[in-house]
Amino acid sequence: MNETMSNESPVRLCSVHEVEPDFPLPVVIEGMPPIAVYRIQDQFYATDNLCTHGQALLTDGCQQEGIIECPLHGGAFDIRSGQPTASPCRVVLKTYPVLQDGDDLFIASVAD
Amino acid sequence: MKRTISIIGANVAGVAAAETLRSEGFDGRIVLLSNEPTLPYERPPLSKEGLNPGSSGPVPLQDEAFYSLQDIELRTNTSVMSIDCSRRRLIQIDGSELPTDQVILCTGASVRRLNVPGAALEGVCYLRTYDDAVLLADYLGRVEHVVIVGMGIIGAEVAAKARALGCRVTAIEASGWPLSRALGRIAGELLINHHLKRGLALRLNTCVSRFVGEDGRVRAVETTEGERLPADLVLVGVGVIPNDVVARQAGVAVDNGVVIDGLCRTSVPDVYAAGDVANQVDFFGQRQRHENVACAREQGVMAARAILGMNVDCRPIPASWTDQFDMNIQVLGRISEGTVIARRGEVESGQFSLFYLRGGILEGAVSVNSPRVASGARQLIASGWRGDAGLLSDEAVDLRRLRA
Repeated sequence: MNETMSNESPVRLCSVHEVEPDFPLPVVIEGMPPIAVYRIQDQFYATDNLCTHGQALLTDGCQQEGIIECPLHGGAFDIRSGQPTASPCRVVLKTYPVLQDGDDLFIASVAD
Repeated sequence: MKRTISIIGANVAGVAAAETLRSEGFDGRIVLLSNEPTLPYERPPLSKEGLNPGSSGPVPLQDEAFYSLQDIELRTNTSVMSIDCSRRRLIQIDGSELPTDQVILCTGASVRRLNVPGAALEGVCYLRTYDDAVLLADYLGRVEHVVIVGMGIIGAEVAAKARALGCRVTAIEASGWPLSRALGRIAGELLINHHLKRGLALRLNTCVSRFVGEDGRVRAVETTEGERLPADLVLVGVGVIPNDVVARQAGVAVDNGVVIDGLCRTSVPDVYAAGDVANQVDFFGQRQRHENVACAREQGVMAARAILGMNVDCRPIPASWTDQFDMNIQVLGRISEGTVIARRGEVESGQFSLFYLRGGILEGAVSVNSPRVASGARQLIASGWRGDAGLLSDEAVDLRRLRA
């Protein structure tokens, strides 16, 4: 496990095989905001699942490679950086570092 | 001398055009002219969250720093009177001139005003600008009887808010099918039923004959059916008309808005148009003036690209949404009665989608509380999807998996 995560215990997200390319997986973890897990080729990424613009789950939207489009108003984000790439989204989407351990994916528990 | 591009109208189309000019590498001067006092803002919230008591300021399209960072000269409180095409100048209302090489007309639209006796009475309101929303929100917090004239999307959104605040609300609608122009008949009828269940009084096939006032304030609405409805506040939502005065004066061809081609060019060289004022052939080959944010934004983006010599046609696909009660309704593409309708989910359940097919091709969808379906449908419409309508109806099929 990555050393930089030592202060916080990693939280299990899901199994690797649950996340298909272009079909992000919604994950609900107690004490955290809803999370979206993405696969881009063989890399895994996680962001908040709630769009920063409207009340929508990004996992209901369309993913195309590294871009996720919000299902409500057509805004979009760069999955790797969380940067908005299409209006009306303006506010950066929170991203989480994803760790892979065998068949399982984890993120660091985030206090804020 | 650096090239100057002026954008008249700092709405979603105008701001999208300015953003795109910069993001596509234009290094000349960009002047964005707004006739409103505030930073350019989002209009959709004005008839939704913007009507909540104590709502704080408009939702800006971009924060103030954006304009200086991108070197976009935003001039608020500025009205353009005319374009002098031969001398390449904008003439502002105060007489000052702005040299410009190219112009993008994003002058938008204004509410259609009723011309009946009493129309100027205090308490007869319209909703288009932030100032309109502030005034309306203030009234809604302290009146009892509200009359909505025109049961389209704006009328329905205000009616829902007024009921939620405890007002007695009566809506009068000129047609027999409220909300159907925007949502189609099935979804329109469902939404109207929700309004009726929550206490809306509705008069169909009815118009206003006059407003009755007392001390300059509206007190009642008299209908063409001879009924007199008590009213402390009237909201008129009977559509908009394009702001085409500057275009006409400049000799630009106008026909229900400024006529533009696929590259957002008007009939006058170096004058482009985008947004609610523009009339363009859409994705379905139909020439029309769209009145929705998605098309306005796309036209703004594409006008900017065209002005920079990028030769890509703009063929916008309409898309709009409304949030009322516990329902999010999305309307995508072209919905027209007489096309084949496939349905997913039960209408009564409040969570369903309707698909409109013409010649086997998916042209439009209305999606109620089903963002995932809407998301898939949006992509299928854009790709010109043709296939078995049974797949659209089958709730086990994730539409996002049908895309090519």
